[in-house]
Amino acid sequence: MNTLFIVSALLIGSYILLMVIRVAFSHNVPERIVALDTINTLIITLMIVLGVIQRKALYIDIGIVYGIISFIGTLYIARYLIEEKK
Amino acid sequence: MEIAVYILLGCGLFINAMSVVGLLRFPDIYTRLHAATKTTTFGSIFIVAAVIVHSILVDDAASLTIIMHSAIALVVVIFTNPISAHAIARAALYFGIKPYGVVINDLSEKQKQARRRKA
Repeated sequence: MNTLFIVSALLIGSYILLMVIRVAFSHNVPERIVALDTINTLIITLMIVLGVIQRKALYIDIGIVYGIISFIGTLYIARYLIEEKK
Repeated sequence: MEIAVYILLGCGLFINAMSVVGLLRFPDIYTRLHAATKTTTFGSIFIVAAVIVHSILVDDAASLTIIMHSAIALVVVIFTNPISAHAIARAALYFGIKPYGVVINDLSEKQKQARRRKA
């Protein structure tokens, strides 16, 4: 059963790598922000799976705090785009 | 009961994979937002459900903590994801990005108005 979670953690890591490729080869700034937001959600999921593999809730706490901070970051980048265009 | 964990985890990974394929293949930002936000939220729901069922089955000292904390993480994902998607869509609209393949942009007047109001 533990092998199953390790394989799923590797799969989620490969999804994150594909999203890094998407960030590198985009045309404009908002498309990069969409890919970054997807990376944040995938990292929260990866932290939950890692916490189950190690049987420690500390990893899941890290995922919660990362989610809140990345949410604030996304909001401020969006705000910056509107203000910059003005 | 173990088969339930397999099925839930497989569903979550498949839905997350669909999100990644959507982001790699869709042409512009509005369709990519459609692919990115909804599917990652739904995949997280399935993966957290698999984690909860697995923790109920294992039932050791850390099980209750893992169940509670992963439920809190799911609540964080469900509340923050649509808000950030809305903020990104609004920023892209004011940034002046047209939807893919449009000939007549119905929103151009609104975009100009918004920019004038900001200035």
